[in-house]
Amino acid sequence: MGQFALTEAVFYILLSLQNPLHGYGIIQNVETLSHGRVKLAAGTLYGAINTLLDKKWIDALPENPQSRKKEYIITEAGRDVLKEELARLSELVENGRKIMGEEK
Amino acid sequence: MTKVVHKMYAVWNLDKEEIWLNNMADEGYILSRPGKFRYEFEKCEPGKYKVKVLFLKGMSFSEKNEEYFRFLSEMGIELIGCVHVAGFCCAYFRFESSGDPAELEFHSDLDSKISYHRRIFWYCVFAMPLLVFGAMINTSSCLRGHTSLRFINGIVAGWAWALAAAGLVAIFGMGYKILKLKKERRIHE
Repeated sequence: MGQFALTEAVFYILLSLQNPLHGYGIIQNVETLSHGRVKLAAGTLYGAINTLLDKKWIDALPENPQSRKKEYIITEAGRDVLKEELARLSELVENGRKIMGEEK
Repeated sequence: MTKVVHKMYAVWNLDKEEIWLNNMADEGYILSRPGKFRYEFEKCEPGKYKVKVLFLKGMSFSEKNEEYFRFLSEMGIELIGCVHVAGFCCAYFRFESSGDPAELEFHSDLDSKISYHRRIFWYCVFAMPLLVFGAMINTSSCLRGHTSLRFINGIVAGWAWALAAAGLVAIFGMGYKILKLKKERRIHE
């Protein structure tokens, strides 16, 4: 993968799908994780989910007849991408703190 | 009890149509059946619902759109109906209002906003020559046609020219909006 940064929406969706979740569950989880800062809209989430399915970074689970809501989960490939992105973000934060003199 | 209102909104005025439908919902009338010129409403608790209008590629029964409607219904966003316009469809949804001012935003990132506005922009750009052609034919018929039809041709021509002019203004407006979003995307997500 390498040089391309993930969008905030994709990053949080991948992070949310460590456990199976349906669309609305993802929206709620992202809002909780970001303390209400990131509110994914339905259209954005739908587009992102389809792209992630095409890239095989997430999988759709077989439908549960009881809930009738489609659930998704991260794949190994998705987890690798997430790890790379975490390393990239750590580098950004580390450099930012170093240069801005806010090293903790 | 149902209420019927006859009104027409062009594709470039979907925002205004949505505002009007939400004002109706706030007054206690929720859209139950959309149409090109005819809207049917049902009585509802004032302010209980919000209405969202989306301009989608393809017909409402296409596999892709049906999948999208299903996805939205899982989130409590219910499809009221669709109106087809030349290979595209205007889909009308309703959902219970949470009071969040951003609840009518269906695209929270710049990329999806750009691609949505671009879809409407190009639809209008391609529809414009047809509208102008129709206006020209009717103008010509009004000036040189059969006397008994001149009056009707004149009215249709005037209406088509007015619509084309409004559409042109809207196209420039949309183009400017897309450029602004693209500029924003250079520095923000």
